[in-house]
Order: sequence, then C-alpha cells, then structure tokens
Amino acid sequence: MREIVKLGGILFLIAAISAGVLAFSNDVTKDKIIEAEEAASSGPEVANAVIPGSIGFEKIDDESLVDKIKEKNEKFIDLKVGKDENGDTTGYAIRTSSPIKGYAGDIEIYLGVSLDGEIVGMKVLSLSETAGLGSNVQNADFQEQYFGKSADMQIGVSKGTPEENEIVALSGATYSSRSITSAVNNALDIYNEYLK
Amino acid sequence: MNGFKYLKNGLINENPTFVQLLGMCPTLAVTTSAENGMGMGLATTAVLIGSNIAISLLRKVIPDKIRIPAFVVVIATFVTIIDMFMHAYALDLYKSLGLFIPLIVVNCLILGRAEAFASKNSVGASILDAIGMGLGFTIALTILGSVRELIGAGSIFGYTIIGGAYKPALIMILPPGAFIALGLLIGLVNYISRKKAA
Repeated sequence: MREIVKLGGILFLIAAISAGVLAFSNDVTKDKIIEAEEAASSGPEVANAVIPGSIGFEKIDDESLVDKIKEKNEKFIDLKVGKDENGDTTGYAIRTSSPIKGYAGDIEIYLGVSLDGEIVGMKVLSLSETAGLGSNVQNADFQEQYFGKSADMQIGVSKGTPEENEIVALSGATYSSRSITSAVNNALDIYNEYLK
Repeated sequence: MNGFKYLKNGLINENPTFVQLLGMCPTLAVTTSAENGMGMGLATTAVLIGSNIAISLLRKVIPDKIRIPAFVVVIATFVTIIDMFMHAYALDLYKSLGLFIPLIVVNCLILGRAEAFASKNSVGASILDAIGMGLGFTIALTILGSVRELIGAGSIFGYTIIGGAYKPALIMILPPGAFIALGLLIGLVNYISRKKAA
C-alpha cells in the first residue's frame, strides 16, 4: 500500500511539473501563434496575392452581410474588402472552403474578385493534399489559369484543351483541381448573389 | 567511450533509420520533400535532446516500476512544447508536417534512447547521445526526402534541379515511393558497410 502511494506521488509530481512547464510555454507562445496565423491568413502579403495592389484587408461596411451569407452558405468562412495605400477599395476577398472534397479533405482559399467582377487573385489557406502532387494547386502557374475570368460563369475543369470558362486540371491531381475549382465557384456564387 | 564516439554511434554505426530502423512511421510519411524530412528530423532532435537531459537528471528519482509512464510524460511534455513553438515561429513547416508533430511522442527512437541510454548514463553523455542519434535521424530523413523530391518532383529543397523534358516520377512522392526509396537506401548503406568490413 505504502509503495503504491509513493509511486503514485512521484508520478504525480512529474506530471505536475510537466503541466507547469507547459502552462508557461503556452503563455509564451499563445499570442505569437495568433499573430502568425493572422499574418498567414490575412497579412499584407496575402492581401496583395488575393487582390494585387492591396496592402491589407478590412471588414466589410455592412457586417451583418457576413452572418447572412454564413447562414445560407455553409462553406463560406469570411468576407473582407481589400484596401490600397490610399484607403481605396480594391476588391472583395471571399474566404471559403471547397464544397467538393479534395483527395484528402477540404481546401480553403481566399478568392479575390475585383470591383468589376473579375477574378484577380487567390491564396490557398489550408489543404491536406499530397505534397508535390495535389499540393501543386498552390503554384502560381496553376492559379493563374483562373485570373482574368469573369465572375459571370461557373468554372469547369478540363483534362484536355480548355474552353473559355475552363481550367486545365493538374496531371495526376484531378481531385485536387476539382476541389479547388469548387471553392472558386462557391466564392463566385457568393459574389453574384450578394456583392454584384 | 569518449564524446566523439557517442556522436559517431548515432550518426553512422547505429544510425536510427538506416541501421536500427527505428521511427519508421514519420520516416515514411513525411519525407515527401527534403524540407519536410529535415524539419521533422530537427523537431525530433530537439525533443530527443530535451527528453534525454530530463530523464538522465531524473534517473535516480524515477523508480523502476513507473519508469515507462514517467518517460512518456516527460517526452509528451517536450513534444507539446516543440509543437507550440513551431506553431508560433515556423507556421509553414508546422502546417506541412501537421499531425506528425504530436506523433513524435510515439516515435520509438525517443523512448528507445530514454530507456536504453539516458536512464543509465550521465547528463553529458546523454546529450551527446541525443545529438548523435537526432542528427543521424535528421540526415537520414533529409537524404530520403531529397531523393524522393528529386525523382518525384525534379527539385531539392524546392529548387528545380532537373527541369525541361524530365517528367517527374510521381510515384516517388506517393507512399509506395517511400518504401522503394528507403529500401534502396538501406541496401546501399548495407553494401557500403559490408565492403568496408571486408
């Protein structure tokens, strides 16, 4: 009996010290983590990639719109407007995950739509596609296919020669290409319905 | 044994990946690129150094009967710390390694060194052992990642090496490629060490 108490006591002490150390390092890192996540999802670099010429995102004037879209569209995450150096609006940044699953889970993107309804940029915020294969949807060569397309029509995925409103799938990563395209289309739907 | 021997032991003679075949799960899963392999190796090394120091210091305090749970608590603590710091300071790497960071807890290399070395040796020796084993693991994962990335994507550390007409053999960055590359590398290591011995 005494031995069990002693062993339990030692283990308890080790666990208690560990918990203290963890509480301390959590304290040190938690603000940094929020900062890093914030910069990675909506810092100046992201803003410029999503809507070229912007230096940052701001909340949309009518904030109730965000909740309204969220109610109707379950993949929608957030909506921001891009601002340039003079504080002028550069376009809309629509954050959404993909209605069609990729090879491994949803893909989350920011899609930039200019004020005159053209796709101007995008940024993949999270994905779990195969590295070096599906993850190539993050490459500029692939994403440039979307740029300049009008928000008026849905974008399709082609494996051969693309039509006007199609992009060419990455070879060996059709699922990923379809998934990210579905996210783009979801963002376009939101644009057409609420922002146009 | 002097300090250099501890290092050499981990790096070459008893390399955790190529000779002991420890920690195969992260080895096979994250070496899709040189960068991921190196990142995983360094994260594991950091945990290994921390846990070896702590366990070596506590080796006279921890009773034999509860050593395994005690080791696991210590290792899990270090892994969680690394997890938090990578999240804060190396977000891209944190995202690309994903689930495999918390899984360092169950990397048998770390518990193996705690049980076989740190619980029986002085702090100094345990640190050297951890550095040797950790770097041995890191180098092995970086080599494996480089080979897979080179053949599977034509680049190393993201820099294109073979471009142009070369069509990357995608299979190398898919799971089967991990087994093929690892098998061939172990074969090569065995071939070299046998030649040396002969």
